[in-house]
Amino acid sequence: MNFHELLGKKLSGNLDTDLNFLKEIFENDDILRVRRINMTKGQECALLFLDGMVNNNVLNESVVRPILTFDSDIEGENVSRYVTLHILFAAEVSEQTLIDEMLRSMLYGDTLIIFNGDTTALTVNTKGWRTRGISEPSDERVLEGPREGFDEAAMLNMAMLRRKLPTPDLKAEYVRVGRRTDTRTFICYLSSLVNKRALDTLKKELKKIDIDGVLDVNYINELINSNRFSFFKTAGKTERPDIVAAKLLEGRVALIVDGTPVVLTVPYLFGENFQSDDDYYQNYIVAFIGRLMRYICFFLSITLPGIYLALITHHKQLLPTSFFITAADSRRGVPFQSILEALLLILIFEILRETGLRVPQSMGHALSIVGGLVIGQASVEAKIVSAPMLIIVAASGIAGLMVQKLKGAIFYGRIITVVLGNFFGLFGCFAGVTAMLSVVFSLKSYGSDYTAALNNISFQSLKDTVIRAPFYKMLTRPHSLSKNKYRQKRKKKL
Amino acid sequence: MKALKIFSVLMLVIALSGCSTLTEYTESEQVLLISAVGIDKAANGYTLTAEIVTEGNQQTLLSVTADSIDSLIPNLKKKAGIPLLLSHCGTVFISQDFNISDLSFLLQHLCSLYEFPLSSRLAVTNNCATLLNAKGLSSEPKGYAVLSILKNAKIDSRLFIIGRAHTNTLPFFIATNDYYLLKDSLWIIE
Amino acid sequence: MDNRINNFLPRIALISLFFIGNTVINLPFSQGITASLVGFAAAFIISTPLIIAFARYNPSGNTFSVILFCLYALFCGIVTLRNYVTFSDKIILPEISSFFPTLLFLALLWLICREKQSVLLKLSLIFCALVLTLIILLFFFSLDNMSLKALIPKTAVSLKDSLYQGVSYFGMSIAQSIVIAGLFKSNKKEMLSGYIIASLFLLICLLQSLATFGYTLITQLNYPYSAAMSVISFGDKFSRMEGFSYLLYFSCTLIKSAVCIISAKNTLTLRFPKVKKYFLPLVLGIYAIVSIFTKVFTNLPFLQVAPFMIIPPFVLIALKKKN
Repeated sequence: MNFHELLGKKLSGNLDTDLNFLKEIFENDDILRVRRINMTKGQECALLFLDGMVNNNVLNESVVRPILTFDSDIEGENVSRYVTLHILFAAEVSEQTLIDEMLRSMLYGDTLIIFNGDTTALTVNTKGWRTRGISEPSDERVLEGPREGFDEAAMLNMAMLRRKLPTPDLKAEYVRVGRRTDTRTFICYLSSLVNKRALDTLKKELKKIDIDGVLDVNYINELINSNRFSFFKTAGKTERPDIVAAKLLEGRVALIVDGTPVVLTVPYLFGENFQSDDDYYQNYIVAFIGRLMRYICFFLSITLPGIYLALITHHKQLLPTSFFITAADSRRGVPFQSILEALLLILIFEILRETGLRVPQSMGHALSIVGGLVIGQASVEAKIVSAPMLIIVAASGIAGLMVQKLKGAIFYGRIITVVLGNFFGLFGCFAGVTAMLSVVFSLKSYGSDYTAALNNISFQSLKDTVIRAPFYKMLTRPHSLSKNKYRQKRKKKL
Repeated sequence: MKALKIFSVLMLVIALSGCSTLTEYTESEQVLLISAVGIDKAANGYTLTAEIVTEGNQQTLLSVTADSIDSLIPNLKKKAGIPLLLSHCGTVFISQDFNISDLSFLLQHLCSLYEFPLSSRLAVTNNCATLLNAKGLSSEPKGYAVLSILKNAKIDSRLFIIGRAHTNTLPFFIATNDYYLLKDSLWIIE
Repeated sequence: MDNRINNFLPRIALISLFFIGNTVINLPFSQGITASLVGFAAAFIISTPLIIAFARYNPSGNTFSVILFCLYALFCGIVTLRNYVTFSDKIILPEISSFFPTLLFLALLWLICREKQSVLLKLSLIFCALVLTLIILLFFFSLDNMSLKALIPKTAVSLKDSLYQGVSYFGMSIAQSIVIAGLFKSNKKEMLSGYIIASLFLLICLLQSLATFGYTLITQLNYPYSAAMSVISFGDKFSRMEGFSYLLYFSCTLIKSAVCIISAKNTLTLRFPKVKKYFLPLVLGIYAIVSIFTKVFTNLPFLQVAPFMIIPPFVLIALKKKN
């Protein structure tokens, strides 16, 4: 039975009837627990909860004990109201009249109390499911700076965010998505800074979602993303509360989804792909080196194999003579054409990379031997591939690892430049890069230009792109994100 | 409708790729690398001797004759049968019986070949075929060995320098079967 | 929170690239080469008031003006495309036929022309920075190869040669800048800035070519600036820098062709809105046919093509003044 089948239904007021109805909903599900209690003066009630979802101590001390030990008269007709105000020790108690709302709370770890002769039930916060706990995200490690990471529980994540931004300006709007999972999501933003266009777009798109279940933020991301065929992501993801807080301070909107530690932040601009969490926790000069290297590595990882192919097939005159002789010698006896060789090596590199992510740690050592010795050395000696091509593809692969956020774009971009470079030489490589640039320039992320930094060329618009300006120079927020421009006042020189 | 449009464009591209010259490029190991050319004046025309670099930096020679200078390279291409790579030619040798009009014509012809490097050196020798056949001191191709000698001697006889300055003085190499030697004085072509 | 481009730099970059365009491929023009510097300087100085007039030009007007403007813009685009395709056929990709590189170029044009203007402006910004950096860097690397004596012509500079050179430069670059008026309303300062920057860099290219090869040798070369880059050497290993000339020519001709097509599209669709849907496929199809299946513009002497390049802008200005 689904929630929409229970829409509008209410309790009858007869305890036995209501209990039977609720048990029928949970037919064949053995985790429902029912505790009937005879209260004072003949009043009956029943507690319903799901085993494993509740904190038994809280349930016993805050709900069962006070009800059992109460022996005065219940005044007034409304039993549930009396129990809420005078009997229960719990901090959070809600009155519910609709069955679907009652079930939603119970399925999330609350305890449901139904009374004989009352159509209103109470839901008591007794949540006790275990979480993973706060730990450093494995994909977003920093050398210096906070090491907290989000958890799968949305409420805990909200609490972590509130600690970073203890201001009433921080708003968290609650939305439920997923017909069967009823996933709780929180749209978080700072109301005086937020990009209204992004906020309205996000809210509108969330309302349109009509799917069975949402188990991760990526479900939502793909359902609401307007750039469906783009290699470049237009929504940011992070597991770190400090990053989310920083993005909210720039006028972005964050979406916290229950059940996943990954938080979505929108709008997401192109320059963010090259930002690392470390950049803001280290000296800006050191950060500049890292940023610059990421841009260079991104460019190299996409173009290096394509340019090499273009040079050895169509523009042999551009290669230094000694290198050309070495490349030609190394290719003698290789049965494949250069393009097939390149594509094969790219494929093998991607296989090794993916395998490295998923293989158990105990096998990691064996994998590195296979990758290095067998595929590297043996294939060159057996003349299956040539050494220069192997080096070029490996170098571009390693360069691509510097910019993990763009791994999709790098992979497809590399394939495109390899194919175009092989058939059309350097012209093909330039055409491929230009096409990618055109796509990037035309993208929008929740109403903001993806490359908004180029809309208004000035130091303030470029201060956090290739360079990371020192904090005393970061006077304004990104112009395309927030109308509230200034983040710090200029200090007059003494 | 959109899917049909994309499908028809893809089919068109695939069909056109199949019957086009897109795959007619040559791989690096499928070309013959020319490191030096030597042009001798013969009784009934000219002889071109080309030094070709093969596998393992070994060198071999290929000779052709023609009535005029501008027919030499086409004849060489025909004789080789495999595409030639002239763009890495280090040195162009001419024999000492070249006159100024021969030199001008040669420069004009080489400049009109897009692939020919304008920065390759020009040098004179008693007999180009003898020089290119000489054993030499190192295993390096003679075109590049002579290029290094000329760079170290700081004689700038690059093709475009000679062409620009209209100079008729060129470095001169004495050649025998065993060795080749750069002379101190420059050779004057009249 | 606005997505408009609020800065004049992208527009100046676009204008500079437009002026550099396909002129940089053909510079210097081979006839009357000894007068190339004089002709260039004369064209630059005399055309400055015309640039201001072009900056003020508005292509909307009577139907004849609109159609003439569109045809002229498309003509400039096809000449640019054809210049690049010929260069590509001879130098970049001599082994394969020009069919596919042309199709690829047209596909790129389609990708750029169907997007908003901001895409073209941002592309121009990136390309302009790249092009100008390359020109300066390669000029400095080329200093060793250059000789000031080579710039001194051995014969006297005749008026006829100066006129030919000046008219060629005017026709290839300056006269065509009226097309920019169909893209956006550029103000006088932006147009002049772009013109001066482009002329300065074209002068650098011209000086580099002439000083490297001299007046006699340069007439034997088809693409002197590319050849001048091919003789640059940087240390022992790095030489043959003409790969950068491919990038330079590609950037300039792509931007210029895109400007011509978008300008024609904007002007025509203002008057005939129904044409908007079919304009781009139709124009690119015609470009493909003209580029691939005809030898137009490749072998024609410049003087035969010049009237079609030079006269229309004056006609357009005259029609505007009359209205």
